[in-house]
Amino acid sequence: MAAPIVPFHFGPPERRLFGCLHVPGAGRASRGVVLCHPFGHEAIQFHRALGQLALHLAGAGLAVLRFDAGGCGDSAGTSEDVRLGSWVHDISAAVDELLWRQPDLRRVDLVGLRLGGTLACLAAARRGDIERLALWDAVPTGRAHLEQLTARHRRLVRMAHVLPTTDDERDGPRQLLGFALAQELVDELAALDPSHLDRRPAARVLLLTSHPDADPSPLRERLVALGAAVDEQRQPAPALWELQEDFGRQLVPFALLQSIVAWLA
Amino acid sequence: MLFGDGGGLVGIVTEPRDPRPGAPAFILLNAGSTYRVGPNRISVRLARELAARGFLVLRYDNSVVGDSRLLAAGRDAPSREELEQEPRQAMDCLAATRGARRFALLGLCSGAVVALRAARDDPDVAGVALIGLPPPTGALGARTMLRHYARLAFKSSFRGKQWRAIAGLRVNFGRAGATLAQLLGARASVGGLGAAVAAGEDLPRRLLELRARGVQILLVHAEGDEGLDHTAAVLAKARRRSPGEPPPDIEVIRGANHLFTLLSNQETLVSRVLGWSERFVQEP
Repeated sequence: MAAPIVPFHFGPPERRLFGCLHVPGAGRASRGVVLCHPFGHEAIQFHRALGQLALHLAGAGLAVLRFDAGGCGDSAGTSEDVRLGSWVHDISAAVDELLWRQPDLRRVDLVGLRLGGTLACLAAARRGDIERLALWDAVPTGRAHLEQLTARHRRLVRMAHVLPTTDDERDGPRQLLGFALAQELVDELAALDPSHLDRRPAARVLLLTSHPDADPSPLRERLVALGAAVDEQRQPAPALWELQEDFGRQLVPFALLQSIVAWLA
Repeated sequence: MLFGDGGGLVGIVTEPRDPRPGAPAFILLNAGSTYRVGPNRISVRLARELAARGFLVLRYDNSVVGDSRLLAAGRDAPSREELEQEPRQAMDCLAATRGARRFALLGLCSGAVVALRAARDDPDVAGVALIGLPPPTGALGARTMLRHYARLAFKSSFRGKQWRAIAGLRVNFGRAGATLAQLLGARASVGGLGAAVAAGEDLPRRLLELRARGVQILLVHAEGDEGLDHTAAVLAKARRRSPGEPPPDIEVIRGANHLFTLLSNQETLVSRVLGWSERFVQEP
């Protein structure tokens, strides 16, 4: 029997965020987890995987909140409204929302995927009350993320049946894989570097990598220097990272999800 | 909004600030296994733009897609029965909770097939927007793929790009191999859900039946769609058979792929849908 889910909106009227709460089927949870999604096409590509992760975490007795940051998914705004500072704020707001909705929780952990992982790290460092932080292929730097997305976008334009107009070929990464980005976000991403963290985000951090080219060592070194206990797992899954032009397929890496569940639960 | 048996279906309603009296409510369907935001989040944009023009809009997830009836194991796609019944459940919910009486169904890819089937015998459906109907499977699919590649090489706006790519060996060899396997009859390349719902549709007859009932039809394809070659072929055949009763025209979005990845293509698609939506409010 799957745990029930409760969809809802939260946050101020001018910035409504969408959340989906998974509550354990039996009993009250004493621990909660907020899942932090990636940006753009990756958020859609991994929606099913994060939904499955939430199910499994709820099955392990945790209260889980999946939510969409402003300008993403079902939340208010467009991708051009996305800014890193407000996204970090939204993650923190989601933690507070989960604590408010589940008053028996003694603590809330964070799981973040790709850019959502890096921003979860910043949100956790700012809050100071996160005990466990699982980072699934967190982007090493915003600049590297931009370069990777830009390369994939260019590959798609080169290989796919598309004929860019002059508007599509504007300078800089202003549209990436179907999503428009504001120049402010591009500039913020170019400056994003979690190795500049100045506070420990959590007592324990899991660095889980599945991207074949991932190198989490700079982030690991910084986290260790800040006093975090870092667990590292490598589960290469190159198929996850192939660009898909198919509505009918969404890959779910169950072994990887089970690793996160086992680490958190 | 939670609806369906046991409230297991999850949908997002976008309310119009200034509802247009008599206008149908729009229901946006899943594109394959992409959840209710749609590819490139285009369903969210469409919902908000339509609501800004006075339409009530629901975009929801079919069973086992997105947040609806999430299962930890087992099925990874809705059954044919669920795909056929759930649009009606969505209409019933909007009727009960918002007073909607007429509906326009909009679907991309396999969602277009779902819309077509749901509209077939339902007198409450006033319009269907079919975007990127997928190609059929099996031998018919293989013939469609031959037409598709011939068009891409000789007639499409991509033809120069295609030949330059081939000359430079910039070819997606995995995709080419899958297509070759399909042409050899091994397997259709349309993804699982699309393949499940695409087989055996008699498109021209269904479109003519809908039009005879007064249903407004929007038929859009991206120029790069594989399904365009099938849709164009069967509609051309129907025109030859019955020149006095031609099926609707296909609106082709030039330079676009099936996902409408480029922002310029998304703009064009949204403007076509919004332009089409005006037909409902011009009715007496």
